[in-house]
Amino acid sequence: MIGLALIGGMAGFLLKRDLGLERILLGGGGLALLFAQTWWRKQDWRFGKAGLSALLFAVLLTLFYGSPVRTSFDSRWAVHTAMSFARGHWGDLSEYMPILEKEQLYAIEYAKSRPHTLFPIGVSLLSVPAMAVVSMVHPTFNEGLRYAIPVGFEGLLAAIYGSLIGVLFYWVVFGRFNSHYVALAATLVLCFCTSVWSTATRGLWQHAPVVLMFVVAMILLLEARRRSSIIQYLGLPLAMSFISRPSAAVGVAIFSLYVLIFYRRWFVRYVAWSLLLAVPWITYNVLTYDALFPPYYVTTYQPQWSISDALLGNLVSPARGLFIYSPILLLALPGFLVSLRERSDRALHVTFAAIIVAHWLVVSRLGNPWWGGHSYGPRFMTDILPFLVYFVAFCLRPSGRPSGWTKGNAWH
Amino acid sequence: VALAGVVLLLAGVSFLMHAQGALNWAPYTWNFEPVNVDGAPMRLWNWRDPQFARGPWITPEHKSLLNLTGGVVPADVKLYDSGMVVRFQAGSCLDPSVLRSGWSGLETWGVWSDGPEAQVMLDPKPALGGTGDLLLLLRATAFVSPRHPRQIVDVLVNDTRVALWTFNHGDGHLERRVRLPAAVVKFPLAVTFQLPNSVSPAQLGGSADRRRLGIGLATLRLVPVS
Repeated sequence: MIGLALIGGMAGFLLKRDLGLERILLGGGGLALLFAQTWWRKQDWRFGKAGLSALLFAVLLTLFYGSPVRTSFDSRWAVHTAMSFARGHWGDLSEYMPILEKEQLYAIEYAKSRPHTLFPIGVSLLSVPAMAVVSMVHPTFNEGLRYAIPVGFEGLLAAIYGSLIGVLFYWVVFGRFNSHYVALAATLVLCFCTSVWSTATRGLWQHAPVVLMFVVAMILLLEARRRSSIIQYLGLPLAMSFISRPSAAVGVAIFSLYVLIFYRRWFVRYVAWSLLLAVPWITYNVLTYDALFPPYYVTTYQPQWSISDALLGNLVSPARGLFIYSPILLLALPGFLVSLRERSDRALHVTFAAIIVAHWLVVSRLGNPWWGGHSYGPRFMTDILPFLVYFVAFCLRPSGRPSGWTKGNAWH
Repeated sequence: VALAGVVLLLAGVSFLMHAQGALNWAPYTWNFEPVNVDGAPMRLWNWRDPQFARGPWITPEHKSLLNLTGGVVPADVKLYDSGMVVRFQAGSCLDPSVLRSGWSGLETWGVWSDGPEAQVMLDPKPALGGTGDLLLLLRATAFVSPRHPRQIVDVLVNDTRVALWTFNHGDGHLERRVRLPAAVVKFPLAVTFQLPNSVSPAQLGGSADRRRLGIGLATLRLVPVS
């Protein structure tokens, strides 16, 4: 009860200047915490998987949205772009010229004489349904967008993505270890001991959708161990991750190789599902930029730093070091070694590890600059956090507990 | 037990690290203080000033969820496209009669006032006739420098004082807004800027420019208030 009161008090402090919806969120979060405490104490909850997911979602949403820092820097046009798509303007931001001019056309590029965001459109495409909802709730929302950057609303959307990441990751770990304790511990590590909290949920940067898509991919990959046909759908989240951020190409390439080697029978369908998103996106690029890829994806430059500096910096720099900001991730290495003992999942675990290493190499070489500009902590390493924390989970099991794969029965 | 202790310790440190980034604005000032990290990347390795240790606590401005305009535009104001826009940049096809008196030549960014008073004359009646109150929106700057850190601008519309603006050193271009009551809106509309402490760069030293600079206009809009 004391812990509950402390968390409630902290949330209340964070939201002391609030609006109606924030009160509802706070209330919902408090109720969720109450349910959680009852469940932990009595162990006889009757809400089922959906109930637990809803509860976890509500708690995470409250804490993510209640955290007051908002970093609407590079992401400032994400909501405007989403609304442009929702209104059928295909990313054309001309309608929002007053605020574009006020922001001195920051991160705006002109394509065929029309202003567009410089950054990838993935996060905005994912947010289009939210634009429809907010337009119904708040009819003058679009009018307001012409003169302002909706920092609060952007924070809410980022918190929603972060909460989805947490809930889905919970079921990834639970499906692997068949333990609510391990799943909850790993989820808390991912959500509050990494840049998911300090970067991905602070604004609509490109990281939250990539992490979300990678977690969806993990669910499909683990479920495919039991039902191989499901691997074909892996193409969808991976295509979406690339539309959200070009560095996701690392994951796309390595996972594609994995599917080609271990699920060759489904590879053509896997490619076909990915084309379902890739073809409209490429068509959009051709119509908008007269090119297969947007300029952001093909910009070339000469790095002004040494690759060794970047490689080391992304791990141990006092400003951007992954293991400085999240020392809990040091456990990923022993966790990976433990995971290799299980022959049945060894290839998958090696695939996860290959993505981690390749991503680290790529962002150190191609990140511009490698420290990710104005941000907090190891921003560029955010995308691979689900894989790292997955390995950390191997060190979170109570000692002596068997670690065998549950053949999916935990999910069903 | 020892392993659990290590895990808890690592998790606790990680939690505090990211709490700094999610709850406290102070670490974000590290990006540009004392100098911009993008221009001085050696700071990334400075253990005497690590980003995570920045303090004291700075509570971020709590941006409300749906009040998109952050209080800049009054709640009852709705802006329309039908308002006229005047651009003061060189090559913008500006009607010369708009800059009635007290202005220098058009430049690529806009136009400087030259003297203690400058006046703009507008006649947007066809677009705005019979609409009652108007909102005057100016994208403007002022001549300010470390040696002349403040510029005061008295705004009069048809000889009625409607606003007193202050521009401070470091403000850059700002969007200034003033609501014009229907009682003062008579066309043509004379907008006068009184600039009591306008000064020439030459007077401040270090420049041969003898224009007495005060306010600089980039754009002006008049829109009806519904």
